[in-house]
Amino acid sequence: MRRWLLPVLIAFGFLLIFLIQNRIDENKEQYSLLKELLYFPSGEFVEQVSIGYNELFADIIWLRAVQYFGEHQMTDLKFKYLYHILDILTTLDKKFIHSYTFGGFLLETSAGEPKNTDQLLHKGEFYNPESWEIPFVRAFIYYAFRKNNKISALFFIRASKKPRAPDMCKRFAGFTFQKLGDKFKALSLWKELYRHSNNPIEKETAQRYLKEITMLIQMDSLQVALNEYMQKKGEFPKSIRQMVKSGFLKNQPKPLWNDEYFYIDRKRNRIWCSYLDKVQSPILNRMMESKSDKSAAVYEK
Amino acid sequence: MTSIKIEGLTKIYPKLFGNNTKAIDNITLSVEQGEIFGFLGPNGAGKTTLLKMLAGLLYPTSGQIWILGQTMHSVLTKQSMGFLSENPSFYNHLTGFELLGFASGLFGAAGEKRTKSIDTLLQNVGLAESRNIRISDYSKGMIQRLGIAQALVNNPELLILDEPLSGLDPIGRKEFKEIMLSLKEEGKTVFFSTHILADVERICDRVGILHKGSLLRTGELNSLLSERQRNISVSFKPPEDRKTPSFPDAKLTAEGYWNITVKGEKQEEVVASLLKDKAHIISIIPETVSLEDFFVSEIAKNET
Amino acid sequence: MKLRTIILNTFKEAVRKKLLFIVFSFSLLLLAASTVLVPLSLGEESKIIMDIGLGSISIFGILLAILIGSQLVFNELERKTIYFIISKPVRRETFIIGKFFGLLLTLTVVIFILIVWFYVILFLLTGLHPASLLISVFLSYLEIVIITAFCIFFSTFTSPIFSSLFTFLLFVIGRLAPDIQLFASKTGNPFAHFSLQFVYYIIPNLSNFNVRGMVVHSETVPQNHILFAIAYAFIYTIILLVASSEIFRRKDL
Repeated sequence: MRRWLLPVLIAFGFLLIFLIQNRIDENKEQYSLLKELLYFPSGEFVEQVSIGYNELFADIIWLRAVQYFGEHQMTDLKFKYLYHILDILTTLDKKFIHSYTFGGFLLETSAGEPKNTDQLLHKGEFYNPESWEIPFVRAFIYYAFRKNNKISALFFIRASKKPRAPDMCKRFAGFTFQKLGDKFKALSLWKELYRHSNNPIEKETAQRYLKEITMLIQMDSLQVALNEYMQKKGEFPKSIRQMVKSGFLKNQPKPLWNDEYFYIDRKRNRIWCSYLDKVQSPILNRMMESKSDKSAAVYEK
Repeated sequence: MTSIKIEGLTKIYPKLFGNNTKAIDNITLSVEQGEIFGFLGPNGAGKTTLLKMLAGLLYPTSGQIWILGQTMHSVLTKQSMGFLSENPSFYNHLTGFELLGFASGLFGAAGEKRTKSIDTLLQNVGLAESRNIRISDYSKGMIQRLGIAQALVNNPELLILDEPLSGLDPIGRKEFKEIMLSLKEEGKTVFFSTHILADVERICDRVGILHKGSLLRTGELNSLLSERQRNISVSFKPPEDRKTPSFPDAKLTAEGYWNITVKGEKQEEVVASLLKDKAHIISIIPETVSLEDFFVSEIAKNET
Repeated sequence: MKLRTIILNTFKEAVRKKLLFIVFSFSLLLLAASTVLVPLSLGEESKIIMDIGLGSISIFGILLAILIGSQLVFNELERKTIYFIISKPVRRETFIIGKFFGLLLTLTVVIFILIVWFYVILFLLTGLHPASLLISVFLSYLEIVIITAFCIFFSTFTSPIFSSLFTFLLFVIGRLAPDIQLFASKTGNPFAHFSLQFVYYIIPNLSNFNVRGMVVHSETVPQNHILFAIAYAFIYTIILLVASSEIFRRKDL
């Protein structure tokens, strides 16, 4: 064999390998890494098996959990194994607070499994009695997603009593005693979360909610103006611009991020936003349905 | 035709630290068909290295080898060649018969014919009874015989053997020499190496002396030895009227006659003188230098 | 013909090794012992047995491949039995490939017996005999083929100790390949990203051959995947055999 032939053949071989591997990886969503975890019936079993390298295993699983979440977030939004994984994770490393808080957050919002959320966070409190983060997250979840400000307040208070709890726990305890649906208080809540969080996914979510709530608040004030117009003129304005022209609005509202804009929705008879046409979010729906302090009742005619 | 032709063959083993080792240094040699060529050399001279290069086990650093007219890189060359390595070892889990069967398989032979020829071969090397014994139970002598057998499995034109007689008892050595001579009669060529001088006697057409990788001498055994032939041993009885011979160097032998050793050139002078004295000349024998002496002196010459 | 001779001889030689016998017996015992774990499994008997069975077949196959394979070529060189073969009209490549297939034949026979044994145990205990397990075993077998090729490759130039060590390391890294890709995708540093991706493609990605999780949960393995896995194993093995043959061809014996 000529001297040069061998390296050429081998390089060619690896080129083929590269191509084949890519094809395998493309098809691979079905059997992601985490499926291996499905082997194990429970966290306890895994713990026995990992023979002393618990935290290391937990780390590896954490990485894979994040990837799993990311993949499904991009594709089918089906998180049916999320709780299972989090259970294993938190059993292997019971003190890994973030897996409870972040995990609970994901279970509630993306997976939509409130029962599992409670179970996970309860376990977290049990193993970490001094943690303020866990009751805080529970409070947050009750407030923002479950609209139960009574229980939320209780958890905020519980959080504020833990050692090293930050002031905001008390503040939020205060907020929640007010009526649910106060978008401004909700706004500051999300702002705090955004500022304090180190987790990029949390931050991203908070940012999104901030945008959405800001939009809702703006919608509310536009709606107030619309109602006034209705009352005074007895009919719908042709457009928002007309409202500005006739003096019911000071300024034409600026377009939002991604050129989303407000308009008058004839079917629903209210101010609407193009963003809402694109996005389906149960949380957003709930927030809209709630009564805001500043918005008047639905127009009556 | 020329069975083996070597030109300018050199083998250098590179070393990371220190000097490279030159195992074979610029050897040029030819072996004709039907020759038995014996390669002599002390241990470490490079005999095994040379033979391994001929067998295609080592690659030369420079130089060329032609075996049976073909360059060494051809697998076909090995079809007509037989090789026996120094201190051979074979797969211990096989029997003698199985090993030869394996060897035949490697030559592409198969079937009934094969079995018969293997048995004949085993007979020829004296291993007929050990046919079904595991090689792990073979003695050194038996292994050696098996080695010769596997070199003959394909009825090769050329045999390359490294220390073929090692481990054989005197009878075995004799038998093996017979085998080599009969191969020569069939027109085959044998090229073997040894450090035991007696191995080359009687059978080699030519010998070569290898030392420190260099080929010192090659040639027919007799002519090499007769180079040194200088002395003549004259045995005689002094004339009746004298008890002692006129030569002061003469020695009385046990058999009762006198012997004097003279240099070749003086031979005629001494014989003439004896005849003049009417001494009774019994024999005039040229003393040949022993192979051992020849060998040792060649080596010594190369050392300096 | 000559190839077949070498393959069969290697097979006969490997089968005689005591080590093979020991590891083999141990694996049979382990499979049988998995029945003891059944009471602990809280109703998941079949899963546990399948779990252990598939895992052991895989591990023992790899273990045997490494232990025996690493000795194979090196011992020939050490004990000079190699002169007997190479001085005959046999190409050096033929020798290496013969050794590879001889070893593979040995492992195939061992694994076949293990599978049968495993199925018997599984059937007796749970009454199940799913054909899908065979797919998992087949892919594990492909993994073993690659590992065997690595063994042969290393043994052409290092001693049994290093050769088994390197092969074992590649085995571990190979199974962690997806994590390497994960690191690669998460790192910001472009140099690290490129290097890790490069490493990911060069090492044998043994996770391609792990479908145990799916099979045990009765999910079907897509045909596509099986075909690509076969192609992968085929090409990778050929690369290794070509490299081994070349190294061996140029070697002074």
